[in-house]
Amino acid sequence: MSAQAEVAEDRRQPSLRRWLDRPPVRAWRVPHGRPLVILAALFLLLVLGWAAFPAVFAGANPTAVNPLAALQPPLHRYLLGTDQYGRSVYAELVYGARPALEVGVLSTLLGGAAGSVIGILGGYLGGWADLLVMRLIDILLALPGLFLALIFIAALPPTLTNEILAIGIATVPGFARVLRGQALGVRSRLFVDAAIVTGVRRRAILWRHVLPNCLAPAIVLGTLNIGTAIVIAASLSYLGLGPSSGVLNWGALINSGQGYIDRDWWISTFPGLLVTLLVIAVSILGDRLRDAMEPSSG
Amino acid sequence: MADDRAAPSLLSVEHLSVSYRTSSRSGGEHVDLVRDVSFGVGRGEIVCLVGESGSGKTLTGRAILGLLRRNARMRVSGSVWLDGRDLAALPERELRQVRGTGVSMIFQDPVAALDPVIRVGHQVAEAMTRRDGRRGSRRAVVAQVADLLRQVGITDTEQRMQQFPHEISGGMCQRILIAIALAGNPSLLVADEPTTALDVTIQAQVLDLLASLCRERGLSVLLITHDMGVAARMADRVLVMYAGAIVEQAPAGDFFAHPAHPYGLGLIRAVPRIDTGPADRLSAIPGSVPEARSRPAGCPFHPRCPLRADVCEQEEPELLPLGAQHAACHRSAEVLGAARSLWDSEASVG
Amino acid sequence: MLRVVLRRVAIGVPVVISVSAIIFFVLRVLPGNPVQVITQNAPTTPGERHDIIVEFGLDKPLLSQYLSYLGNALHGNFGLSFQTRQPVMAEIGSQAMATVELAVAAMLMTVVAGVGLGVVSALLRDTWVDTVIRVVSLLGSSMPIIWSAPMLILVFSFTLRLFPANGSGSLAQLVLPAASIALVTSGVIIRLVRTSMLEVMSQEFVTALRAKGVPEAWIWIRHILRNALVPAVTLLGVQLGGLLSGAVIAETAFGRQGLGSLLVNGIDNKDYPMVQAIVLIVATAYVAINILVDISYAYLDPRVRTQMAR
Repeated sequence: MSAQAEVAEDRRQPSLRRWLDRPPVRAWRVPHGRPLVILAALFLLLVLGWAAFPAVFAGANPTAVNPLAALQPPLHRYLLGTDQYGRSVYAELVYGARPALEVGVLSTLLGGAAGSVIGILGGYLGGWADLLVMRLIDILLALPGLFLALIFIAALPPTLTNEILAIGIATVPGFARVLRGQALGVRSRLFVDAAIVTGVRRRAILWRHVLPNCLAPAIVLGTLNIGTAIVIAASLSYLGLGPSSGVLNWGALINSGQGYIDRDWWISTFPGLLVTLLVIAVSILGDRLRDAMEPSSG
Repeated sequence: MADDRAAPSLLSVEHLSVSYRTSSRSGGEHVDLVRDVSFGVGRGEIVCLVGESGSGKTLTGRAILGLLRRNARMRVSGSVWLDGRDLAALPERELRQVRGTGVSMIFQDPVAALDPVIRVGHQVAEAMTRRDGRRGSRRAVVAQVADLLRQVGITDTEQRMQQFPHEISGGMCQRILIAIALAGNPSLLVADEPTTALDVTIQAQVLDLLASLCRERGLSVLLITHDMGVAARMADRVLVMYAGAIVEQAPAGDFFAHPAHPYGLGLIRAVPRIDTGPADRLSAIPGSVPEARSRPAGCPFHPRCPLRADVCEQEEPELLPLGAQHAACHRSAEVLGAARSLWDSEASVG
Repeated sequence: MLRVVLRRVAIGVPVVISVSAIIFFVLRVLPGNPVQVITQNAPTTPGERHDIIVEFGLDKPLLSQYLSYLGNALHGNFGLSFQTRQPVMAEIGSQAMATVELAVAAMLMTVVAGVGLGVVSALLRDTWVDTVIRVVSLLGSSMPIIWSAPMLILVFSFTLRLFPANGSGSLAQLVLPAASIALVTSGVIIRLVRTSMLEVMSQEFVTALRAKGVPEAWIWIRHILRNALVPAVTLLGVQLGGLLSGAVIAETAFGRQGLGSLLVNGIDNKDYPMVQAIVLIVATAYVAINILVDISYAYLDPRVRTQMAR
């Protein structure tokens, strides 16, 4: 089938898939005025700082058990209070940043790269390759939300690396779908046909035309996905399925604090608030990136 | 000026004005979009309201049906007398009764004017059943719909009724909209650029349909268009609007033979003729329609007018009679006198 | 229309089968030696090991193990739990209802809140109500359920004392868990409905309807809402995934019975047949519901129907 016929054929595909295949257009844009973007960026930088140099922000020894200081409310002697072991909640948040960001960023890189490659190849090569890719995406997506990650979590020993792997795999279909759509779009555009006609090799086309156009949505999606990945990781540790070594996971903190929520509410509240703010910040930044990179959409 | 023909007036629009508030706070600037428009439509008459985009003709049409009421920023004043009732003064509930039964409207993009998820048969039925109180049996409704569709020239009514708007061509959709408009047996139909979105051959069919409906049912039509060809084909009388006001008003024959306003003359001249040779230039009116906010003082047309005089820059002319015609121009008598040569001399100089 | 249905189902079946294969092979191959898993690495005699191998059919080639698993699954037999040595299905059967209740309640809340607030937001656009709704929906959809749950407990259970914080069985106990999920899933829906409504409201056919003299209420319900909700239906299908994952979390957070808790327990205890069964059931349900959503989308929007049928 010619490239155009294939794309036309694809346009007639089930609308649900087409609807989902569109470049991620949000139904409503996150408020993205300049001050908010700056705020979001600063916040993310702060968390990055926590991850890189936790001791600078929160001193050493966050895990030291200090029974005398247990369950102190915030703004007394400890900024965000202490948990049932006397540990500063603030310090636990700071030290939890590194594992959280590690999982978030690495799983996104892993899954994003793999998913993008698969998606681009399918979209660009078309034919049986594309059929294969579409089927693969369908199958992976049949496991909703957490479940795809869960089966790998179940099958593998609970280490950080395995968690990254599991969440990475769960990230693959999302990227594959979007990038496939992008590659299809690029392919159908005239200038690629022109390049084929003038005899430029397929690989060169891929490199010079398809990839740059696919890079932008991949970056946008990746930014947003970091937030999602952090949430999944936190959820896994909340459920007790996270890496067994990490004592300072935000999710685990929320869980352990839940038992005290009636009186010592701060233990569960602050980690969750942090994660929520992270997701919002990442969304704002992602939307801003999208604006910057794709002036045509939105 | 009310209609001055012998035919009894069905619609009489008096001093209709529409202004728009530019900001949502009440201290915003008011922009006049339709300025003191008055005209009439007699029974069984086709009146064409012509003008370029921005002239206010569409707003006039919508104001007649009270469709601007929902927009909080639009202020409408004046009276719209239909069959002895002032529609502009009616409360919404009563006006709703008049819509569809006294006066109806059809729109420019026929496919967009229909609900895309509902079969057209239902949409036609919707226009009629609610009026009769009781809905009547399904078979009766279907028969009525079929009958209406036949009246607008649709033959395979059973199949058509079951279709969705996106499955039907533009011309056919417009016929269906006409059917919907006729369902309540109105005396006046406001047609807002009904053929602009259609192919030329289909345009002719739809216009013929409108003309025959007018003849057979005595339906009055206010046909809003920017296409002088359509006006020439259809009009009994012509109203020319510019910058929110009526600048010329005349029986069709008089208007096309000897317009009395430079703008009207320019519009007629601007229509390409089949007998222009390849070397002849298309004549166009230089300049463009002014924005409502920055209208020139005096006569709003004077910057583009080859006949402009000092008085034109200072005083806005009134619509005054000249025989059977009315024109709002300080020099309308001259225009009437020297129709064509005007633009030729301008064209050879410029 | 029938063609659309058949085509969807025809695509769905191989997907489910493939998913079952993936689940099977991941959980059979990756964990290593299943015998060790079953015995929890306790020391065993060769005889005991042999018994286990026979009991669980572990001596056959992998492919035939899979095929017989699939065959049995079609009959509702998902094998024996590694923990209890009892049929997995029995355990699942007794707990499934609680999860279904939770999912249905959460979906209902999502729809009501999503559509309701979305419509209100559209009607009152640019007022403070609209702003509040949009902010709340943004916050909601950014919240992880692991947080919305304890926060809801804090506010509604302990501070306001309105609803119980845990347990399953009564309607009151369903409210907070369902709300913790709905808070998150409805956020996206609210925004979509709002945008959709605004789009439809400004379309020409709405003006044409008014020109017809159709009563205002009729226009809103039969025409505007009807058109605006079509994309929302599709989105609900997508949100279902989040809902199911959310149910797993909510069940743990609120100490509820159900497939989610069973699943988490199963993973904790390396009870692979249990995990396999639950994930497979969830996937099948998800695929089935998405087929339904696709079909209803075609039913609701005739333009889509025309496209899909080609």
